[in-house]
Order: sequence, then C-alpha cells, then structure tokens
Amino acid sequence: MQYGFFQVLRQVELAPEHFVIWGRLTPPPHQPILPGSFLHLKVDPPGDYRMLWRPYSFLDYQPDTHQAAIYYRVVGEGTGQLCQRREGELLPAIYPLGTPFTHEGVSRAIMVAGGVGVAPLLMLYDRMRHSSPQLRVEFLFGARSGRDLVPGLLEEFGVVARMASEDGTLGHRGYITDLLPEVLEQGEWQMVYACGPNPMLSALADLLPEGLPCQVSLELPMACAIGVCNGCNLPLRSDGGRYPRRLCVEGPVMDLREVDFAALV
Amino acid sequence: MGGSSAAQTAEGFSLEVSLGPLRLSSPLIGASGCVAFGEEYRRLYENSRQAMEGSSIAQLGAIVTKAVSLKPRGGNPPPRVAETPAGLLNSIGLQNPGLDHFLAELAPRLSQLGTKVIVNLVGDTAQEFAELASILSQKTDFPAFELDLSCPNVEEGGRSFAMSLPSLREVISRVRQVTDRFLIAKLAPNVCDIGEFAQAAVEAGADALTVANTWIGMVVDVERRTSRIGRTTGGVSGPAIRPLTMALVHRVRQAVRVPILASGGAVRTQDVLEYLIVGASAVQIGTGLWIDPMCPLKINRGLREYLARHRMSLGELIGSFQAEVSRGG
Ligand SMILES: Cc1cc2nc3c(=O)[nH]c(=O)nc-3n(C[C@H](O)[C@H](O)[C@H](O)COP(=O)(O)OP(=O)(O)OC[C@H]3O[C@@H](n4cnc5c(N)ncnc54)[C@H](O)[C@@H]3O)c2cc1C
Ligand SMILES: Cc1cc2nc3c(=O)[nH]c(=O)nc-3n(C[C@H](O)[C@H](O)[C@H](O)COP(=O)(O)O)c2cc1C
Ligand code: FES
Repeated sequence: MQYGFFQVLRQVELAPEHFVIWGRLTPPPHQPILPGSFLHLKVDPPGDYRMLWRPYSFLDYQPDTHQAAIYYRVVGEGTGQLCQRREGELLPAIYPLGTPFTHEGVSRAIMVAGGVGVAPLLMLYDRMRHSSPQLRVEFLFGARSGRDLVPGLLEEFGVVARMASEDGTLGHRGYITDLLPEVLEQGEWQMVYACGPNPMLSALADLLPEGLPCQVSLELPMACAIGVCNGCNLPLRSDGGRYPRRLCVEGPVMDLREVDFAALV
Repeated sequence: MGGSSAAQTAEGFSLEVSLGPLRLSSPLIGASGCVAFGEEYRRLYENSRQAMEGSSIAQLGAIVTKAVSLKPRGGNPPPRVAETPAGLLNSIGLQNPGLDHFLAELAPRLSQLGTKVIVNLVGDTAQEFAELASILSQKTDFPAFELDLSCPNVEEGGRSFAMSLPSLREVISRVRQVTDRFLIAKLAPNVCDIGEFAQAAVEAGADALTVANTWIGMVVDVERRTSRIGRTTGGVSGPAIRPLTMALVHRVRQAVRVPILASGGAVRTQDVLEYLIVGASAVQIGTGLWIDPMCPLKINRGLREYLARHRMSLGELIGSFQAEVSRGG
C-alpha cells in the first residue's frame, strides 16, 4: 500500500446514476493491481477536510499507462461527491489494498454478481481469460432493475451473462441465485466467485453444493481501510465472537463458508 | 520566491515539546485506536515518499497504542463504524490481542517503530488497571502509559471510570502506587464539569491529562428502525466534536497545571494551533488520519510557518490564549 493520487482522466456515465471513472495512479503502484483488491479514495473536493474516504474495487487496470477504472452507482453522499470530480483533479488515494481473488489453476468457474459487485468480477474475468485459454466461465448478473444491469459494461469486457432483475425489466424476473441450480448442473465447476449484496451472498451459501469452493468479495463500512481501526472486523462462523479478521486486510475476498451472514445483517 | 525564503526560516523553528520524560520532535501524537501499534502507518508513510516528500511515521512525535487489556478482547458485532456529518461513530469494543501477545510480539517491534510510544491501558476494574501497569513497568521500558478511563467499570454497574469521581480517583491512585512511569489519564467528555474530574485525576496522581475521548452518540437507520452500528450507542470522533472538545481543553487548562494532550477532531494546522493556543502541550490525531493521512506532515509544516510568521517559539504559543482581549471597535 502507498499514498498517492488518482488523477481523474474521465467520467463515463453508462446509464443514469451509473458511472465508470478512469484515473491515472500517480505515482505508479509499487505492487501489482490484482482483481479483488481495492483502493481507498478521497471523494470530496480538495481542501475539504470533513469526509471519510470510500473504498472501491478496481474494475480495470492498465499496467503500462497506470490507468485504473472504478465502477460506481450514485447512492449517497460519497458517490454524490465522486460523480462531481472532473478531469485533471488529483484525488488522494491509498492503493492497492486488501487480499485479492486467487485463480491459479482455475479454468471452469461460475461468477455471480449483484449490482455494482460486478466490478471486481469483470476484472477477474479479464485476467483469467488472458492467463487461461481454455477458460469456461458462466457469468450470472443480477440487480434490482434492468437499468442497473448496464449492458454496455459487460460488452466492453466481452462478457455474455445470464441476467435477472427483481422487477423483471430485464432477464429472469427474480433473484440471480434462482438461476444457479441449472448452471451448477451444467458442468464440472472448480470455483465460484461472487460479489454483491449480503442477502445474495447469504443465499448463495445455502445453495452451493459442499465441496465447491467459493470466494466472495464482501463490503462493510470502512474508516481507515489499512487495518488500524478494527472497524471492519468480520463475523466468522467459527470464531466464537472474537472477530479476528479485518475485511480491509485479510479480505475483502473471503471463503464464503467462513462468513457468518446471520451476524452480518 | 518570498515563499521559499519564508519556508527556509520556518525550518529553523523547533517543534520539540516535552511531556515529562518524553521529548517529542513534534506535538502531534497518533491517537489510541487510530494507529493500532504503529506498524501500518510506518509502512504506509515509508512507501509514500514519492508522492509526499518527508513522509514518515516520525512526523508524529509519538503514537499511543490501541488499548491493551489483561486478556484478549474480541470487540463488538458489526457494523462498527458509521459516518456522521464531519465525524465518525464507532463501537469497536476495545478489541485487542491482550497483554501476553503484546509483551511477546508487539512490544519488541514497537522499540523499532521510529517514533516514541505511549501504551494505552484498559481494564474492567481498578485492580486490572493496576495489574497491567505493574507488569508493564516490570517487563518493558515504555516511558508513559495512558489510561483509557472511558471504559465501563464493572464494579460500578458498568458506569465508566471517567464519569464517577470516586472511581476515577481510585483507579488512578491504584495505578500510581505500582508505577513511576509518566501517567496520562484520558478523560471522558460527557461529564457535568470536566474541571472537577481533571482536578481529581491530578490529585490522585496523574502526571498529564488527555482531553478527551469520543463523545457518546447515536445514529438511527430509519428504514430498519435500528442503530446504524452494532451497538445502540457509540463514540463520536472527528471534526464534528472539535469545538466541543476545544471548550473542554480550555476548561481543564483553567482547572489544573499539568500538561494537556488534546484529542478531538484535529486534521488541519488551524485545528492544532487552536488547541495549542488554548493550552494543550500536544495534540492527538485520530480520525483526522482517515480524512487526510498526510495531515501530520502538513500540520508540522504549517506550525513552523506560523511560528516563523509570528516570530515565536512553540513554548510561547502554548497557552497563549487571551480570553479578555477587546475585539476592537
Ligand atoms: C472493499 C470494497 C469495495 C467496494 N467497491 C465498490 C465498487 O466497486 N463500486 C461501488 O459503487 N461501491 C463499492 N463499495 C462501496 C463504497 O465504498 C460505498 O459504500 C458506496 O459507493 C456508497 O457510498 P456513498 O457514500 O455514496 O453512500 P452512503 O452515503 O455511505 O450510503 C447511502 C445509502 O446507500 C446505501 N448503500 C451503501 N452502499 C451501497 C451500494 N453499493 N449500493 C446500494 N446502496 C448502498 C447505504 O446503506 C446508505 O443507506 C465498496 C466497498 C468496499 C468495502
Ligand atoms: C475507531 C476508534 C478506536 C478508538 N480506540 C480507542 C482506544 O482503544 N482507547 C482510547 O483511549 N481511545 C480510543 N479511541 C479514541 C481516540 O483515541 C480519540 O480520543 C478520539 O477518537 C477523538 O479524537 P479524534 O477526533 O482525533 O479521532 C478510538 C477512536 C476511534 C475512532
Ligand atoms: S477499515 Fe480500519 S481496520 Fe479495516
């Protein structure tokens, strides 16, 4: 991890409230930027010292130009600020953070994305496609409404996904996890990768057959994002209320079966 | 051009400050619970010199460790933090690895940290505080302890040590009996007259006071009609509490002569100047590190520039507040 700047290059509005922001990491990161890792970003104007920073997963990173992309939806105060940042602005940032996904030896995987949780999975898909030519991925993407399934984003990554929306405006009407049993039957899967709202991940934990490993990228509010505040400690099934793991250091990618979703609300 | 020569003169102004046996290279101190045991910030600052020249843990004159208790503590259920306007509400629950782990793993590394270390102690009873202080005095050579007195006293029905004069006196005098280390009592803000508590702490043997811990606060999630954090109430920190804590520092300065370590919402040079002028000898930075991780470096620079501009020393600045000055007109 290092302190530096996300120098804004452009904001792309994919759909109302859905943005991809591109920026150059300056100075360039000393460590590789891997799928599942994230950055911590100051989102309010320079000179304002009142707000906490926000963590965002990398959607994309180009090592030759040090350009990084984040996909976000405007839902509150932080993203309301972020969407106002303009080309040329230097946003203080700490990068890269967290423990990324592992995918060595994985060539048959299911990816389950909910809402903006699609971001780290798209980057993962992209990296896996380049490292494993025989890759077979079944990509499932769900959201509340069809508008949140911004198709342009998937196209850019060459992803064809099965989709679900809770209001039925695009794809299957219902939860994305409804589509999982059928996919599970269709192959010898080695790994499931998932990122999305906790209820989705919790449902996933109930559906997956024993023996099929699953890596999930989780979210909790973070204050420091570098492991000092113990604000993001995660409830685990086996920890007896000791909360030994910090989501910002030992996570955000965790073994799905370790997580105690009942205690995560 | 004028800027660079002003900066050169500013370099000459020392930020050194003494707190008992502690000679600090800067009055800025990393606050307990906001810097863990120093390792993460040491690494972050070391890795960030390209972006920010001079970046180093040594920009903090000292750090105060996360609270250390006799036994390890797991802390509270999530979510543990929620943002408030210009602030942070937390209910971490004093999660820490306990004294044995601290002695075996953390203490040896802390001596290599690159800045001074104050150990923050927490206990359920006055006896536990004394036991901790006694063991740490025998087995380590950390020059100063800070007592986190905002925690509940289980022998007094869970009311915090810092909110009851008798238990405040008892815990400090019990610790005073077993250690000759520099003893800093960290007061709670939520009391009727903090001046009384400051006097009681000093009479019981405190060498200095940290003013103050987080303010009790609460945020409601109106959709779920529950608390936004895992506990009903938590502690509020950050710029939101700064003017409130400022008035406490001012009050304590009137009440006692011992050094004051201010703690509450400092993030810019201006904030630290205010605390020093009101009478704090040092200013702890907690939540400010998450609003601007580079604030220690920027504040040190800003303090030197201020001293150069006003042609005064840090010693002259501290406590220079003039309450009755006419505002002109
Ligand atoms: C490791 C990690 C990676 C993350 N990656 C991303 C990412 O790639 N893209 C992204 O947009 N966010 C991501 N987040 C979440 C992000 O940090 C912010 O929480 C989110 O952008 C909302 O911030 P805000 O300040 O606008 O909302 P707040 O003002 O903090 O919240 C406003 C309201 O929206 C709700 N809310 C918070 N987050 C969301 C959400 N994501 N969707 C719907 N409602 C929400 C809150 O509960 C609250 O009620 C990540 C979080 C973590 C911990
Ligand atoms: C996440 C968090 C954890 C804290 N943990 C401790 C602690 O273990 N012991 C203690 O005495 N104070 C603790 N504090 C209080 C801080 O040391 C500080 O007094 C308070 O946050 C006000 O200062 P600030 O506004 O600069 O953060 C904690 C504060 C926060 C935000
Ligand atoms: S956010 Fe502070 S420890 Fe993870």
